[in-house]
Amino acid sequence: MKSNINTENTQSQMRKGVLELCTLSVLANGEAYPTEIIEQLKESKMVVVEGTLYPLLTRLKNANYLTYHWEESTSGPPRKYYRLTEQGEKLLNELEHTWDEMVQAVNKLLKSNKRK
Amino acid sequence: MNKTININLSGMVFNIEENAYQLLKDYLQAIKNKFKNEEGCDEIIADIEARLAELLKVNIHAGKQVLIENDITQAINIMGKPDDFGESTPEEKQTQTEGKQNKTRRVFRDGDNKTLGGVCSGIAAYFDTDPLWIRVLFLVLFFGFGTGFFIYIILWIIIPEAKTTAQKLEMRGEPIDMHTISKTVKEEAEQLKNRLQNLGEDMRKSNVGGKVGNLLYQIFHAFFNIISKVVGLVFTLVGLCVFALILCILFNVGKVFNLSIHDFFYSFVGADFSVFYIKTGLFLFLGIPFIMLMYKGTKLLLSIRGTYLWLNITAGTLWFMGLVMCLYVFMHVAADFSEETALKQRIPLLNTTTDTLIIQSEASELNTDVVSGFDWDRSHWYINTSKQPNEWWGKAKLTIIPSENDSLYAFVIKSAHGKEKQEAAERAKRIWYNYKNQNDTLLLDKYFGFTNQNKYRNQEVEILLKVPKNKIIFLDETLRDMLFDTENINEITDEEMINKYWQMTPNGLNYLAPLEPAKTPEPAAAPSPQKAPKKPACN
Repeated sequence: MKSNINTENTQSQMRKGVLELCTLSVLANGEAYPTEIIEQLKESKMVVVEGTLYPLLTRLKNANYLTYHWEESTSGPPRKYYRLTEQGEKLLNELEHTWDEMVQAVNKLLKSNKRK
Repeated sequence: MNKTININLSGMVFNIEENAYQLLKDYLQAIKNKFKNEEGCDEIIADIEARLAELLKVNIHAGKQVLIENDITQAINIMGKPDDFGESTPEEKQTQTEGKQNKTRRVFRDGDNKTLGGVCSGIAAYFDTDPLWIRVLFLVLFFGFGTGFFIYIILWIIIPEAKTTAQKLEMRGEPIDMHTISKTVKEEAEQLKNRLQNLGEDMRKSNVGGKVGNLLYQIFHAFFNIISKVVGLVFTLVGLCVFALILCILFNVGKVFNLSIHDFFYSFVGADFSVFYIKTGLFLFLGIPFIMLMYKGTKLLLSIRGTYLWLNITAGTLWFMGLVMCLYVFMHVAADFSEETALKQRIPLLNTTTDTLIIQSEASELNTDVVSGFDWDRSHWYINTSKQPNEWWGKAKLTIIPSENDSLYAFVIKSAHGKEKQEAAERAKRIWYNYKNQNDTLLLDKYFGFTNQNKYRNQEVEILLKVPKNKIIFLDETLRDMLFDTENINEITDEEMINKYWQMTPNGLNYLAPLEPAKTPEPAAAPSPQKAPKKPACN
């Protein structure tokens, strides 16, 4: 029971760390509104519920990594279309670099210690 | 048929069923609470509302114009519970821990529902009951010696008012019941176990001292939390009991040695004003520490934080005032004990017709009335009777020594204390003491008395009986407890000298083996009915 909670906790901590990177990466393809971003993230099992994304987007926007404009929607209220700012692209590059390094390092470590 | 409500969600109009509306409202409120401390909170909520509107719009079509509970549940499942989106930012994590702290309930005064100070409504919120019951309880206590009033004032002072929203939430936080307590204990135990497991590992690392210290601190902290609650409860109860007792003293409830509290103090200080003075002094000097004990106890028990400097200063000042008042009265009374005068009155005794003098004592009038007493110095009992509540009675002492000549006589020695010899002598004179000498019997009063206007100043009466050589005396059973330092050559203790025949020798009394039983006289066994009232003493 206890170990399950710990596993879940560790997994969500890992996801939390890379969620920013993934969101920025989704937006690197061009602008998108939250539902689109979520769909992509859901495919890669990065988010489970949509609610997680909204605070993150607001935070990134407030930190000037993202910007948005409103667009009318046929199926509901107007939508916020987000895109990367210059700073956002810079951050994405840095994070991508860090990610590559980390994945290599971690894989190497895991391989060398692999149980028989 | 169900009632529907019109709502505006992110600029879109929805018809929604009442129960579905409540569900949606609660959900949005939960999200608001979640993000309330975060920058851009309004924007996050607006975004979420917009998304909800989008999701709900799908459920509306020509055949279905009203949102039902199921639609809301589905939308919420897609968006996720507020607890599920606590994974993204460090700020959120902080809010989460704050939220956890907020869950434990603390006592505040409820300013929103107050009648007087919001004490009752605050306590009701703490215990999850209707304020009415707490108010009734206080009213009942108010009529019981006014304790409710004092407790209310004290609580008003010590319990802070819930001013901020956070405090208001804390006031109604997670109740402290068996479930939450067992949860907390389990968590603590689990953490402790983990720390102990980690300890072995930590030992190998450098900072062993620090780690062990930290662990000890944590253990101590956990214990302290539990112990402080217990201590708090004990403090509160002890403080409350003693304080109630002190209030009784202040308001003359109860009796000391069958004297009312007022008369008891009066017997020592001798003036109404001084009684008021000593009672106020005692109330402050003894009461304040226990009020403070109650205060600290309640704070510990209900986890009330913060100290009021002014409260401590006021309490300290009042306590000191009380101390000064008590000391003043005490020194005043003590000064009245500084001088002692003994009035010695020689009383001739009839030369008895027989060889044997029978010595008895009488306390018939008092014996039936003696209600309470206290042992001042072993053989010395001060008592009073229910018939004369302002009178003090003490046990007289009897000492028997050899006479220096052939005459049988006695001294009645009355003594008292006072500021001056003269005052003490006056006081000694006002002691009542009676005796009777008929035929061959000496009938002594067992008790002497004085009114409490004379004040208790260690009044004493001693009968020094001088018996010529070879004279035989019989010490009656009624002399029990009266004999004091009477020498006998048989080394029999005072208590065992009664009910025996004695013959005087130059070195003291000598025990005679039981004489002819037929001779046992009982002339004065029944006290004479025409006995004079106590007051006219033998002077």
